[in-house]
Amino acid sequence: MTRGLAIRDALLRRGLELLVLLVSISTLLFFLLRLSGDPAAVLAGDEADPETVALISARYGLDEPLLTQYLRYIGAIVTLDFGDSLRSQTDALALVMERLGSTLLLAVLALVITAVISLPLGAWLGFRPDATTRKWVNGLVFVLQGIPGYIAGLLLIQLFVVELRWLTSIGNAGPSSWILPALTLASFLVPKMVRVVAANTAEAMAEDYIRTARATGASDGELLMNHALPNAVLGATALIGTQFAFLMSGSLITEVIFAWPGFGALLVSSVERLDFPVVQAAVFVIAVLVSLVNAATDVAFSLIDPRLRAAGS
Amino acid sequence: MSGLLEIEGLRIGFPHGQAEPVVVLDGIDLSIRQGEILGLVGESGSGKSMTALAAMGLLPPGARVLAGAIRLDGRDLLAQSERQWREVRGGTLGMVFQDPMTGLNPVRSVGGLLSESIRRHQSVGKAGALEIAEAALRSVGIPAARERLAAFPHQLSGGLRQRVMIALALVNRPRVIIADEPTTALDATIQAQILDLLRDRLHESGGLMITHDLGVAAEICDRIAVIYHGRIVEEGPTRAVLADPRHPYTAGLLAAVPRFDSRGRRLVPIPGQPPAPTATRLACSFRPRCAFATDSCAAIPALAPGGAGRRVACHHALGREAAG
Repeated sequence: MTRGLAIRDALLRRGLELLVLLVSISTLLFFLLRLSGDPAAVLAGDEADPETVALISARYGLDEPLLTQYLRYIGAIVTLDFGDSLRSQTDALALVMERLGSTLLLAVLALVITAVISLPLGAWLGFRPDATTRKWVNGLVFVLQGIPGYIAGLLLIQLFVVELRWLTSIGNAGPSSWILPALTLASFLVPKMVRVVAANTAEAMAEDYIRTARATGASDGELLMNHALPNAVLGATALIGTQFAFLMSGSLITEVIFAWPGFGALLVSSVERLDFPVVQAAVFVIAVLVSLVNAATDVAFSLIDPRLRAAGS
Repeated sequence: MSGLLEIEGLRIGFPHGQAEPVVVLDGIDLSIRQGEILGLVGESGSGKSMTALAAMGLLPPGARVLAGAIRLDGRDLLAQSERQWREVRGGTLGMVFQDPMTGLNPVRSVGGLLSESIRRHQSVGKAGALEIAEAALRSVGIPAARERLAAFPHQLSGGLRQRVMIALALVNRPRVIIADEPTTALDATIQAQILDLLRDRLHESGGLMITHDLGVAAEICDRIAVIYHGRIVEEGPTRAVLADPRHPYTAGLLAAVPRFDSRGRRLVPIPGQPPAPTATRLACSFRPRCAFATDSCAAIPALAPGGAGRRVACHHALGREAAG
């Protein structure tokens, strides 16, 4: 089976999964949100009289039977029409897409930082099994993994913004404002990634094929780069796939600390205000993104590991 | 004797701190001549694989050479730097490992593995390396060699994988090829094919065939050395050793091998267990299992010449003189 066919199959499979996923998530979301309160009442405000609430209900179709609302909602979603934000009266999807760029920027930067730090550090840790430094670095990584992200973020701000005045920490104002939030996000991922890469490298170095490579005269560097790492990065790729979802939706604290105009902040404020259309659009977009990343991970797997090309058929 | 690969008085052990090191190889003497295959036969734990790894400079962590020499073409391998070792490994010394299922990197193509080794040891370009790789695959009897360069290990059968492993060992035309149990992990019919191949290829250079199977040794080896508890107990031409074993251990091994003409006859196992590789040697290691043991066996017997190119380490050597 060729590489191209394997990739096509992986994408087809992921496409079908995505379709099922989106329908399920949209349905679940629709009913969960309607259980949590009356948006018309929230919109009208605490002081509003029942007539005003009813008027608002009628305007947004919130007074119709739930099933009618649901069918209309699903029908609209198919055409990517999530309706207008209940709060700002602008198109919900547009509102979400506006934030998407900022969040994606941070996520990609954080992943790049994570890879640049974790791959060499993890490979080194996994490769030198008898060094005492290994024990110390392992301990350090373990401690770092226990530091909550907001502490890391606040420490970074204190150092680089308040003391050194090198960087800015408010909003999205060009590259110098990207560094700290990206670092903060990466500080969640780096310890995990280092441990995965180190464990996988150590495991690969104990394999028979490493001894075979040694017997052909491979140097330590060649063993690591040509033989152990190609096997070890499989685990790292899988981790990137799962952590991406976290980067998309779970980066709220980081976004709040840095007043970052991203997804997480939008999602939480919309939930608070029962702004259904925005919540639905945001969750929808996250689901699509996570699916795309999973598909990309699959493709990466089949590029790295020839065995998976055959298994996919 | 002037061998191609000579191992002389090789002692290997695991030192820890001030204590006496735990010795696993206690004075191994072996010599392989050009065009000759020497079989190193012994049970698991006897030290045969350790001998092979020592010759490749690939001792496990903690193991040290305590004494002795390993010479290839008269050059002392143990005196060389790690860099020089890397030139020897895969260059002048090739090695075939036991398990072709786990011994080939799953994410590397056959051509990739071969040309990596070729370009390390020969000054050729990418295209030249692939040509040499293809020729190597053909020389180990792999059909459609050119297409197989692009294959990955999981796409090949066990027999083909072992052929790839052999190609990897001989691709740079080494002076000596060491094969460590190369047929143990294979089906019986494939075993015979791989043995045929090894007989041809190893005779072109020199070969050290490590095996626990006397039948395998009898099949392709010119000479046999029997190793027990880290010492060579008997050595000589294959035919002579098998027909007329001098050491009681060799005789015991032979009596325990099933043969076509032994139908109806019971196999005679050697009583007891072999000593642990780490056990200290105070007397002849075979003494507790030996039917011929006497008080004189309290002294460790030396490997002494027994005529006709044979050597035996036993106070009560068997054979024609002893029997007659």
